[in-house]
Amino acid sequence: MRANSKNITSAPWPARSDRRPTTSADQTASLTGGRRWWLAFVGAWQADWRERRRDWRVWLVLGLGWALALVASLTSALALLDTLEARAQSRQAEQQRWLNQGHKYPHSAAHHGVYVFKPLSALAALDPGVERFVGSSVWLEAHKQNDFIHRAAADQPGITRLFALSPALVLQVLAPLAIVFLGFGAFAREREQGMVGTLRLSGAPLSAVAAARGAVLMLSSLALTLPAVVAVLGVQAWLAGSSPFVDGTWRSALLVLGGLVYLAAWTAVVLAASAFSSNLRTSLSVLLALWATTALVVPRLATEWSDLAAPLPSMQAFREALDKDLGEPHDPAEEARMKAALLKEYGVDDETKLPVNWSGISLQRGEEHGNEIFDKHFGRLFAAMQRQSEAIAWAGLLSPTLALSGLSAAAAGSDHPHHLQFVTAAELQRRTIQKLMNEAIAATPNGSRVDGDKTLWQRVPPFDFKFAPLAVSAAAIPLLPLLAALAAALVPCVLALRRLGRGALR
Amino acid sequence: MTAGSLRQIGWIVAYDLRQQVRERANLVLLAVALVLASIALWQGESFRRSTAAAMQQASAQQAAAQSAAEAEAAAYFANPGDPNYANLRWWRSRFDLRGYAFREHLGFAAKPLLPGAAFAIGQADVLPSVVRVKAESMDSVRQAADIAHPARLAAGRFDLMFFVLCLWPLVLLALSLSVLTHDCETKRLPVLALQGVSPRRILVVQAMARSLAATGVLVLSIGLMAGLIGALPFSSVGLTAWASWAGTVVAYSFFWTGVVALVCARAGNRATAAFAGFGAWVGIVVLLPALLSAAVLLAAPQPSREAYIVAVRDAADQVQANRLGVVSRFYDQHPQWKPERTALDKLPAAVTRIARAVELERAMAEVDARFEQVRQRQTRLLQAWSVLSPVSLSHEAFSTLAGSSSPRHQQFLAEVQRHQRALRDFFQARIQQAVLRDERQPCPALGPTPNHPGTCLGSYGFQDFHEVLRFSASPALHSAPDLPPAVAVLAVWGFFLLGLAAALAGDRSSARALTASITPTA
Repeated sequence: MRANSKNITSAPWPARSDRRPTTSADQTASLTGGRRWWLAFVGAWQADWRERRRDWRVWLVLGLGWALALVASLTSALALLDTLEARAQSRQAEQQRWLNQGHKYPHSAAHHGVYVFKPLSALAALDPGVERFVGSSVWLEAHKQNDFIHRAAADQPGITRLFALSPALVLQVLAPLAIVFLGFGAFAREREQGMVGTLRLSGAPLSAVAAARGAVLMLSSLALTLPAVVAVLGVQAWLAGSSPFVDGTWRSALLVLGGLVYLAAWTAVVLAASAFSSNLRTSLSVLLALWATTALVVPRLATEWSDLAAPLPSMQAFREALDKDLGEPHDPAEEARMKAALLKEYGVDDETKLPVNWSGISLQRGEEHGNEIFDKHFGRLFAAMQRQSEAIAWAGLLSPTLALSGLSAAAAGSDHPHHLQFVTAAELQRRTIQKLMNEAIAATPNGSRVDGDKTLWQRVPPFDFKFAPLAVSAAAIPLLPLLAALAAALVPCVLALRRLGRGALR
Repeated sequence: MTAGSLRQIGWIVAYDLRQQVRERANLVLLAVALVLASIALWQGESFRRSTAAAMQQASAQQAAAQSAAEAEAAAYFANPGDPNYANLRWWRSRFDLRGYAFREHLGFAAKPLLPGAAFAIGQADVLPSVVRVKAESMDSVRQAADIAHPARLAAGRFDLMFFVLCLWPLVLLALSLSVLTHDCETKRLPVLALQGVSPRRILVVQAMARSLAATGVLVLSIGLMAGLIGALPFSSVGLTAWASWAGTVVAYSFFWTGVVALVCARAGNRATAAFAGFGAWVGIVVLLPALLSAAVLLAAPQPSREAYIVAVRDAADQVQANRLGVVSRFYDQHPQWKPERTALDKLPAAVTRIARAVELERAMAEVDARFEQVRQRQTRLLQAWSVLSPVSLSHEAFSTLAGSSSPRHQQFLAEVQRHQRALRDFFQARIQQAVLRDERQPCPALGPTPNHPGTCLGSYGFQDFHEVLRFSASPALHSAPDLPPAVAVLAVWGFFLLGLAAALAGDRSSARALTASITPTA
């Protein structure tokens, strides 16, 4: 508050020893535009910074925010490291289990299956996105495209969902609030105290004063993100290059860019509202209302109403339709035609005389039949979810918080499209396993049953998943609303400053 | 308290509320709040309706599956030799015990909806109310999930609980932060003091009047809307549900009245009060619950689910490797079912499947118990520590009233587990009896599995579908909960803060009033 109340009491001019001992009117007259602006900026910066340094309330806001950011970063980073270690160990255990299952009929091995675990990036410590709400692993077995299981959210108390502590919460929700609390009096105090005239008389360009005060606000809020940056770097160092990304640098840069644009937009909004408001109370009220609307209300409403873009079926309806299609027998005529063609190809009149095993062919045929049905049903479901994701992304135009959360989750690989990438890759791996097992069965003479061994199990390629590079177009969808928000905030900021410079003193 | 004091309080309330109503900004704020609350109620009601529809769908699906099974069984047993059954797959046949028990049986368990379900979604979108129950294991129940866009779950639901917990305090703060501070700014306090009105009385009475009036408007409007859109039944049950919810909202608002009063008692003007009040909001609504959750998760960390999967796989492999021992132990425990002619290692997998599942469950009991212990410890810690976080307390209270709390879900799961075990025992007994019957009078193999016994009424044939157990929730799950104890704690918090504020107002306001009366505008 005192920072808000006193930032005008120091003249917005540099307090340096090299300043000429002349009047400000002399200075104004003798300086060129750019130099004059710069000197005013430096002066305002020094004045503002000095006042903020001396105000214990500023330190209270920053201290609390920083402590929170530290706790959030530390807990997120430690939780991520634990998870990654557990997944690495489990992945290794599953791989060994698969390779060392001994002699077994290949279809039994296919039923025994294998679990795969979703990889996480260091950036997921920054923004866990939807990770707690999608399962971490899936069982790849014959005949079934299984669901992902063990959602962390189902294991945790409900209150943890209200505001889950993470660096993303600090950056997306609390940092703007810190800017509001530190900056709502940037110009409103001068207006309330009738000191706009003094400000004008100083001769300093208001844009320079605003830029300086905005820069101090930005720096203060950026301090809150430091623990998260350190946490990510720490996790990255710990992982020693085992990232699931091929474009980690680009993603990190995108995250930094998004965060800077977001905080800059909020800074501009705070300066604009403060300059427009005739008193502190109005400024604070307007800014808090805006914050509550864009950071709390719109993100929830947008995701709620995204259902209108593409309604999703209930689990019962989805499973019923899927089971119904799976329960339909394969086309017997097609099966008969296939078998006849095979008999003809090998010049025999009975399947028992075939040099290949009809069971393997039939099993693979069944898999392909199932794959078509899975593609149809899951494809429809995922397409509907994708339409919902797009609707949520467009709602980012109404809420920069929503846009930033979309961008940061996309960059961290913790959003739903990235999850679908893993779902698709896991399903492809399942189909690869089934195909190899069924081919091994088909390769044996009909009527005989040959068990597979380690040689066969080793033919299944290890599941080494990497996320696809984040396309510029995918990044642009949430980035554009952020840039639009910044532009939309700068316009009223400029107008408000112009009004402050030329309008009535009150 | 004298009649004169009561008259004075009445006068203060009437005057203040009249002034507030004349403020257009206040009316706009209240209107916006009611619109948001209505949207939140509608979202909750939509979710309640979709859950109810899912329950009906599950029930209809279950009934249709039983009818279809009865028809199929009747057709099959009337003429088992029909060429249409030449390719019969017993594991996909409803009229074969093995196929029915392990694949075709369709049974659901539903957690009953409470009358106040529309007031809070809570964890209901993560912990589904309808689960499929399979005889073999509880996996289908434990892994059950509704289809929802994960971003929707991650962002959190815009339900009435969110509105009341997070947004309603902002409304109360905006309406009440001018209590006393405005009088300080306009230097009316000395004048009021001359009329015998103490700052303490102004503070407490005005803060309570504004807060309770606004809360009254909210709960009445929501009650009316809930009745109109069908979120609450027009009956004593509906009225009780609304009253419990309204009581909790009033208690929560009372707590915030205490916060407002405390802020106003200390702040010298409205701007300072706004800064401190909204700062308190951030601390109480965002930081405290977040830190509390983080502390609970740190104090009682959940064991790794990835390690759980490995443990299940290890246990399953062990059971498979020791299959004969498991089967042998099973028949030692149930000698009445021991096959008379078939060697135990020659028994078909379907016959020993439940015994192996039970053994797997036994092998996993210790790991499951570890998860359960951690869950219980988290709950205990949360209950103990949430006394310090009124938002966490209220969250639990609203979830309890809506029937979406974790303890109720655990109770539901416990009942489902009892049902699942009874179902498992039912099928186990039927399958084992079928083995014995088949030994005495073998049933000819059919279809593409010549090594497996066929489906005859004397052996694995099954048509007693009406005897298969169905889940029925206990009366405890149907009954609406009592007013949660959190309401009393919230009231205590409110009284404590109001008392503190009154004490501070008594100490400071007179001095401030005097100072304000002799000091020119700052």
